Amino acid sequence: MRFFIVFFLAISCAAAQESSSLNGQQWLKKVGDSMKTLNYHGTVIFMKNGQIDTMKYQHTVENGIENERLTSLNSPLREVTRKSNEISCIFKETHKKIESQHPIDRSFIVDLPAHPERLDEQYLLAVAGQEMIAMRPAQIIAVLPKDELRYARKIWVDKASWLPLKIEVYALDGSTLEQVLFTEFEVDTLASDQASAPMHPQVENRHLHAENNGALEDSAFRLGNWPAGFKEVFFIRNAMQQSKKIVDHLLLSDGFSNISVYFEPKGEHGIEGLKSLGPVNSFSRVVGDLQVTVLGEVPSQAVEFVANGVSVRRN
Amino acid sequence: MQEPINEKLSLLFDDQLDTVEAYRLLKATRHDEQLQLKLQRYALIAQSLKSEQCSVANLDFVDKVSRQLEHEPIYLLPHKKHKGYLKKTGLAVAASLVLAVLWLSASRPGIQGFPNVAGNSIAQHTIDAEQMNARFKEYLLAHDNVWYVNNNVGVQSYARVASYQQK
Repeated sequence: MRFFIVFFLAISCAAAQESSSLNGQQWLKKVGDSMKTLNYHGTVIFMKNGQIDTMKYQHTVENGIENERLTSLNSPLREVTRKSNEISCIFKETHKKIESQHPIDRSFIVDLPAHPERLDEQYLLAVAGQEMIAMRPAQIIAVLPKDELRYARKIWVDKASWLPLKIEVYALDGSTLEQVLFTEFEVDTLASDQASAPMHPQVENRHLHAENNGALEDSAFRLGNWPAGFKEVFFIRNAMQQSKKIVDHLLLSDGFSNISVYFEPKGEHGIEGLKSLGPVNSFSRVVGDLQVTVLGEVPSQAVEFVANGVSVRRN
Repeated sequence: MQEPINEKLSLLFDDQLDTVEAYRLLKATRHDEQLQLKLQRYALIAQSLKSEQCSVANLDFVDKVSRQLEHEPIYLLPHKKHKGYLKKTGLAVAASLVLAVLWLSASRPGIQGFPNVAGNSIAQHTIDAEQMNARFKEYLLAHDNVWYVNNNVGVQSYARVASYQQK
C-alpha cells in the first residue's frame, strides 16, 4: 500500500497543475461514451503474462452496435472479432474458427464502468499528468483502489478523441501486471465497409457455449462474502468448452474488475487452492459435494475472500 | 543402437514384443545398470499413461525379488539346476512379476495402491495439475472474451482438439 500512497501524492501534485476542469470521473465517462460511438483503428500491443502480441485493431459502430477486430501480425496468426457480445476467433494457419457468445459486451482494449461517479467508495479517480502516446497528446487518469481487493490502473486518454491510448494495470506492490498500448492510432470519419464483410467464408465454423439464464436466489448457492462495490452482472448455466461440463457461472463486476464464481459438482478429485496467471487469480475449494472456483482480474485475497464465503443453501 | 533398444522397451510395455525378443531384452538388462533404470522409467511412464492411479516401486524392488528368488530353496524340482539357469529363471520371473503388477494396476483404475510396496503417487499429482490447468483455461475463456486475444491461454489448442457443442 506504501507504493500507492506515494503514487497518490505524485498524482495529486500533477493534478493540482492540471488546467482541465474535468475530474477523473468525468474523463472516464467521456472515454466510455467515445468508445461506444467513434470509429477508429490502429496498431496495438498487448503485454500480458510475459507475452507480447502486436495486433492491428479496428473499431466500428454500426446502428449502435460495436464491432472490434484484432488481427495478429505475428504467429500464431489469428483474427479475433467482436460484434457486440459475439466473439469469433479465426486461426489462419489451421482454418479453424471458434464462435462464442459472452453474456456482456466487453471491449478488447479496456473495461470501464458505465457509472464512474458511483465508485467513490472503492476508487480514487485522479487526473494526473500528460504524455505523448502514438504521437498524440494524452491525459493520464489514475484509477486507485481504496482497498486491497482490486488493482490500480492508469489510463492514457487521447485528448482529441477521448479514446484510450494506453492502459497499465499494477499489482499491489506497484509492479506492472499488464499493458495495452497503441503505437499507431487514427480516428475514422466514416464507418469502414470491411467491418461487416465476411472475412473467411471457407473456414470451418463451430460454436461454443449454450447458455441458460438463471437467478442466483433460485440456486442452491449462497455468497456470504461480497466485496464492496461489486454487483451481480449475470448468473447463467454454461457448458464448458472442452470438458462439456455444465457449470453455474456467476459474474460480479465493480466496473473495472470482474470476478467469476463457478459452481459445479465435485469430481473424483476435488481441487483446492490458489492459481495465478498474470493479473488473474483463482481460488478453488470444495464445499460438501460442490466444487467452487472464484476467478478474476483481482488480487489473490479478493478471490480467496469470495470463495471462503460460498455456502450451500439449506432448504 | 540406443534407438532400437528404446523402441523395444516401448513395445515391451505396450505388450507388442514377442516372447523371444522380450526374453532377449530382459537378458540384456541383467548386466546393464543403465538399461535397468531405463526399464523402470519406461514401466512408470507406461503405467502413468494407462492409469490414473500409480504406485511406484522402490528402485531396488526388482533386485530384491531377484535376490530372494535366487536364495529361495526349490522343493518341487527333482534335482537342483545349475546356478546360471537359476539366475536366468529368477530374472525372468522377477521381470514378469513386475510387468504383471504394473498391468494389474493399469487395468484397475480404482485401486489405491499396493500394501507391500512403498509407493509414491507421482502420476496422480500430474493428472491433478493437468486437470486444474485445463479447468483454469476453460474458466478464463468463460470469464472474459478478452482472453481470446491472448494466445498464452491456449485458445488455439482448443480449436484443434476440442469437439464443440453446436449452437
